Amino acid sequence: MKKASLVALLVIAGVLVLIFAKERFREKEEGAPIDNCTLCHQPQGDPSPSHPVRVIGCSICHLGNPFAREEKRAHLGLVLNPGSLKVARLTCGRRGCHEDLPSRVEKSIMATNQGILTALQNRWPHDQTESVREVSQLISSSKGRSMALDHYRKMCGGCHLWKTRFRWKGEMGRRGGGCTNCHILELSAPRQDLSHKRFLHPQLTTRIPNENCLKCHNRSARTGLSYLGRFESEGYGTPFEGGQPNNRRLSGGRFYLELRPDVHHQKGGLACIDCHTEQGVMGDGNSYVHMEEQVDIRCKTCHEPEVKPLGGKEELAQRLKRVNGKQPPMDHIRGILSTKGSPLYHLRISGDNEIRFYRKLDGKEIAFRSLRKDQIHGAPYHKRLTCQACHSAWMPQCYGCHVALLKGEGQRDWLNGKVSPGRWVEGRSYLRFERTSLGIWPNGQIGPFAPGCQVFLDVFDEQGQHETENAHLSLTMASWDPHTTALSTPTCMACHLDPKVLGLGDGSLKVTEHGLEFTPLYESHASGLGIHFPLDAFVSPEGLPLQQASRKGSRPFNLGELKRITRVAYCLSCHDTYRDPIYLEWEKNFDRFQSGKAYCEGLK
Amino acid sequence: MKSLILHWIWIIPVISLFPLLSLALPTDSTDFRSCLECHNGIERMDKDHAFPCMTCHLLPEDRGQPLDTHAKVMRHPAAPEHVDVLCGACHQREISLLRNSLHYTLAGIIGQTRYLWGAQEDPMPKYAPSKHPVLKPLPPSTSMPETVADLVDDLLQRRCFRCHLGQVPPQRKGLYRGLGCGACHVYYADDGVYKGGDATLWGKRGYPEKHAFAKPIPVEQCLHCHNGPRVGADYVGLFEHDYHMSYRTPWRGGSLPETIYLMDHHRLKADIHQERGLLCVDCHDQGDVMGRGKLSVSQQEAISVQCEQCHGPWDGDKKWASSDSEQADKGFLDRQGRMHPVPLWERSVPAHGVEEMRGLHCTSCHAAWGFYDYGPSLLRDDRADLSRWGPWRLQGDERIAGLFDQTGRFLETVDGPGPWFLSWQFRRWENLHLGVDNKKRIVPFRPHYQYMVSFVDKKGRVVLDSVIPQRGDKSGKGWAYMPFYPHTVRPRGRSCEDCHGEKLAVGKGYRGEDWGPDLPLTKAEEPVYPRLRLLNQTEAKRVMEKTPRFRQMRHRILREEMGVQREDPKKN
Amino acid sequence: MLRYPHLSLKRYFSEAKAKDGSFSFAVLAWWSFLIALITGALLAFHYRPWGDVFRGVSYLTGVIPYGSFLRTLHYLSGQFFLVFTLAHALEFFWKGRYGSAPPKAWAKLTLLLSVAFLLLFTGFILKGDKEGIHAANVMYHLAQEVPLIGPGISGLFIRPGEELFLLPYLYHVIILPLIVLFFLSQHRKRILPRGDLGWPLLALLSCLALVYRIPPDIPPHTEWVTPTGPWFFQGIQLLLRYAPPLLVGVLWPLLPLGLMAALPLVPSPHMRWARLATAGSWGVHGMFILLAWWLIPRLG
Repeated sequence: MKKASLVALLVIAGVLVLIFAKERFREKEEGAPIDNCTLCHQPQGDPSPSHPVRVIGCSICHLGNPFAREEKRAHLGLVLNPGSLKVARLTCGRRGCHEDLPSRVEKSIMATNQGILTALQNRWPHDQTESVREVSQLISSSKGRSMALDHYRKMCGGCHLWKTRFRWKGEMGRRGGGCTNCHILELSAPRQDLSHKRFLHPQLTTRIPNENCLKCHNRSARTGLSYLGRFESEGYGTPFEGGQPNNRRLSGGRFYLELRPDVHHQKGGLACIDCHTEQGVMGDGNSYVHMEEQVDIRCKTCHEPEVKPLGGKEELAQRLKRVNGKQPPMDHIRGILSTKGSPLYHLRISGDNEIRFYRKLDGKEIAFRSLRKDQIHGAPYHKRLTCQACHSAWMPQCYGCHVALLKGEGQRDWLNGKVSPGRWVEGRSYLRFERTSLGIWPNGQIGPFAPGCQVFLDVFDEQGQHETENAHLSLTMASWDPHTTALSTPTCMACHLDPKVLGLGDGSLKVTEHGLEFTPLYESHASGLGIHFPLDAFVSPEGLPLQQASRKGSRPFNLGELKRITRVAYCLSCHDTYRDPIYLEWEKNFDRFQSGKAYCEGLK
Repeated sequence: MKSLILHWIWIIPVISLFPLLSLALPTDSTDFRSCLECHNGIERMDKDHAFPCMTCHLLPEDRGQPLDTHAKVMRHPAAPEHVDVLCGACHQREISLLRNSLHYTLAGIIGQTRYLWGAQEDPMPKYAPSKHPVLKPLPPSTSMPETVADLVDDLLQRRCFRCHLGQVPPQRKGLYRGLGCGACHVYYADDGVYKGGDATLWGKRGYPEKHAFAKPIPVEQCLHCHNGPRVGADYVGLFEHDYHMSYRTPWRGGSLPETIYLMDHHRLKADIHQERGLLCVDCHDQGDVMGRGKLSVSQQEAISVQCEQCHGPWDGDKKWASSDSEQADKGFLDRQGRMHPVPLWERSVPAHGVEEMRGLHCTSCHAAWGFYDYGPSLLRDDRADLSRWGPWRLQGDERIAGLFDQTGRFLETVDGPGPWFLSWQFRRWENLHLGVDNKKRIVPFRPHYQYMVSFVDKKGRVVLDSVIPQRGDKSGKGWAYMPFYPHTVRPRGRSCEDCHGEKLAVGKGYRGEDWGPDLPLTKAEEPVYPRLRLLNQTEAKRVMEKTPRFRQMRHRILREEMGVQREDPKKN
Repeated sequence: MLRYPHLSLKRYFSEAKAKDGSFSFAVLAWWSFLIALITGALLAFHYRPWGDVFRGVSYLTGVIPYGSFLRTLHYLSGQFFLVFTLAHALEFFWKGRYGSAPPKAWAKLTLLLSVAFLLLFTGFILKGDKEGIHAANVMYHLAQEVPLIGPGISGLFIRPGEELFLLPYLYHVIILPLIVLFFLSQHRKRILPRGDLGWPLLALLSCLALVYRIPPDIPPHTEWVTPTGPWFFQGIQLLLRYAPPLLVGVLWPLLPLGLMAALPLVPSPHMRWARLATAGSWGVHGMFILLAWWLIPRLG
């Protein structure tokens, strides 16, 4: 028996030696985490200076099993994109790191898409029992087969933060991915084979370049495009380059023309994030239905600034500035807050309230202009005007959104990635960018409007036959800041007597003592649209709204306003400066004129 | 015996069948000159043309002997190649008039395009599409074009000349027509279907609506060629959709809209004259359309009808002493026999009270909209695979439409020179420009030629890449703005601010310099002919500036329209 | 002799069989238990039943020198312990030895069998991964299902929350091994068996540990995996999906053990039925385990 035991002991010893040789036990480096990941993967470069791999390791972000030595064991639970909202609470938002952010971002409108879903569910044929509030509710269920939600899934559902990154090629693949969607530097992350030992680790940044925003914000209202001066064109692709349509392309087979960019971009080189604060973009923890409720910056915030002591916010301002990494040193004793109380850390206030503006992307100082307090901006008769009403150079107008549902074909549902029956096709009537229409914004002020969206919905069954009973019409004019700010403004008559700007549409306007007589140019009914007013008519000459407005409380001018605005044109031929005192008490002065008490040169 | 009879009795029915068989077999003795045997019921053209069919439809050398093939029958007797033989006996005058007119020579199109593309040194007519006593036929296109000038004749022949009298038109809705004189005088319906009395032809496509002369010639007949972004289509309010497939809307009717002239169209406000029922021929008489004998150079001098002839001149302008305005009190009798009251020029109309407006043509204000198509890119693609052009396959061109099937799949292409693809930068109907025509009036101007020419040979080599042509006399870019008279007249003119204070209207382009590389297309370019010109500096300044005179006049106009009442000012 | 060490083993086995007619399952089980005890003690140097247990187990498995080896050895020896115990019980059941044993003693041995199961179950929980947590929750809820006393006694086994692993740890490391030792001392006079089989068994287990890879631990946050329990529990796990927990989670597992314990009390005329019933209940359990092995991955 002893012999057997001896042999057994030898075998055991052999096993122990074998293990020692194979496992290559490592010494724990001083201060470094044990991440056996680097046994197989060697990233070149850190994600960012504040996320050094040597200090925090890999699994703190990418999860998985950092101690395992074999692939299957190590990769169980591994997360390729730690920013994905599905795991953000365990990765970016883990205790000791960015704890408050995942819950804020999950409620933000880029993650919930509440505005899009609300608009679709309210205006399109939809079974209210199937209503959802947020896109996350649609992802996890197969709920949502009404036309509104099916349209969302296949046509809108590619632009939200819950979307998986890189599941598809091109722009669609780059969208989504939670925190990574915005914070990654795309050019630093080429698609590479991660099984190779050495690879470039994608870079993260707080100085988010415009391209990251434009992945999604190049559709619908096209604010991202307009800011850079790009206008989604009629799709000709001209002038041709190299014997084919040129390279001024957008995703989806679209092309753009180059018009005038927003002056903030053109003259100042400002990026999107120079205005849009982190609180405005990532949310403040509340779930808002509409984008403008979450955006916390207005023109006034910078151009009519209220400088005040920051108090408790000073520390936050300092931290944000540090995280930006490019700002010059400055104190934040006094500063400017956004509408939700977020400090604008890139503005330096000197003693005499002089403001210096530093770009967030590179820290360069930009000449800053506060609103001139002059007769133009102080004119009480224009106090109802928003900045955008005069200072928007152009606005993309897409007239006539023809949408067809072809039940006989299939299309990919971007929420679950599968092809399901029903294909949506979109067409349009015509595009414009000139002569923006005006109307009343939800806050009661006057601002620009453009079609958003004028839906002519047609449904075709599996055999391709038109289902007349399911045809739907939803014509809406929407209001938004077009992001085409310009220093120059239109002339007086360009608003006061231009029927398109007043919301009547393009055509011949005659202002008489009995009211407005208007002959539109566009014959919608003869063009086959089935309506009896032109596509650019927001209001009829009798003051009745012809199309819906995109928000409760927004509307076109009513008859009284139309009459008042056009009547001013009577005097504008001569009295066309802001210095002119007759407008300061308009009604009174007009009465004086009518009763013969005022002298008028033009009556000679 | 009985058995013998029974044996051979079958011969009788067989022999009797032979005559019947002979009827069925084609005999070589059919004489196609007996037209009315098949075309029974066909109309007479009119009482002056009550000839036997052969007189017009067979060449003299074929009339003598029996005609054994139907192919010798002339479908279009008035086609340019044999109109002299078939119609010249009676209509020599009209034929020679037509030969020198623009409809036959296309002198304006050919001259201007060849000049602007650098193929000839001046825009005077030198070539004609069909045989002409003076003008030469177009030189054959080079097989290996290298420059823009090499390509212009190919473009003209294979894209522009589809609207020539001598060319067989595409057999598509709205484009059916005859050849030669028949192109105007024999009416083809938009669907090209014969609906006359001939049972053989009834319901067949590609034939006139009736075998008769059109009296009067309806508007649709002119539109068979004068469609697209050209005067003619605007008269009825047609404006083409953009070319991309996403503009093939609306779908309300349950399917893709039906195209006419191989395009979809917007409908805008039509000309008031069209609304009142006037035809093209009510204004444009034979002299305008068939010329007056002299070889015409361009539309500006070929057309003589003026608004003033009916509506009266500006305030008793002596130039118009011979106008019909005195008779206009009775009204205008149109060619369909209807009487129309004619509104005369009146000083009481607010804008007519401004003396400076005398130098304007009526359409400068009264045209509601026009064709403003900026930046045409023309690309000839000789490659075998043209599928990349699928999204733009509907562009009013038969050849390109025929390259793709209904779903947009590219079919096999024919070997040889490829089609010419046309694309624009952007198209508008609003915001008119102004310039000065050869009669020194201020008229609307439009971007007529802003070509960017590309050519890819069959090996895929990009020979020309969006090249801007140079004029034949080296005087500059081959781009031009030309005057036109939009047939979109409305009773009320456009607003004063449409031109006054508007940089675009005076030719300085939309807004300013910092508006990117696309909008400079809206800056005016010199017209082709020396007697036409853009507004000069003084004129532009007068239009742009709000001078005290302008303010006063503008105010007066507004006052008179708005009817703002005011008591007399009390002097105090 | 030295040249053929295996022959000596062979001789040992045949000797043992000759002696009391038994295969040496009991001794093998006992050695397995000892190996598990010793490796477990070594593992306890690095194991913490609080905080991020999964991380701790991963650290132990991946970083500690010989951590993975010891853990595999511990796992294998534990499994062998249960298997040999079952085989030993089956052998003596087959031979009808309950007939000659006092009922109380026989009952205590059945209890010992249950404790073996419990040892492995608590060991499974202590893995600390998603499956372990799931198993802990199942145990807690099953304990709650016991009528009347359930909610009270469940807190004796598991306390959900931060200290989920503490009680199972105490049971696995101290309480249950002590129970095993106590009852075994009553079962056999000598606690330590003859050393002949010890080292060979250890050598065999070591070689096995070298090549055997325990299944990867599933991180607790992973969503897409269906956690399964220890192999002997899977039948019950399948049944728990469709039937009430009290029935299939508490009564059904206790049935074969109860039947087995009650065998000495059965009067001889009914002995055959009792045997059949007992064997049958064990057999059905086994069948369900096989069914669950096949079915659960497909059901998801």
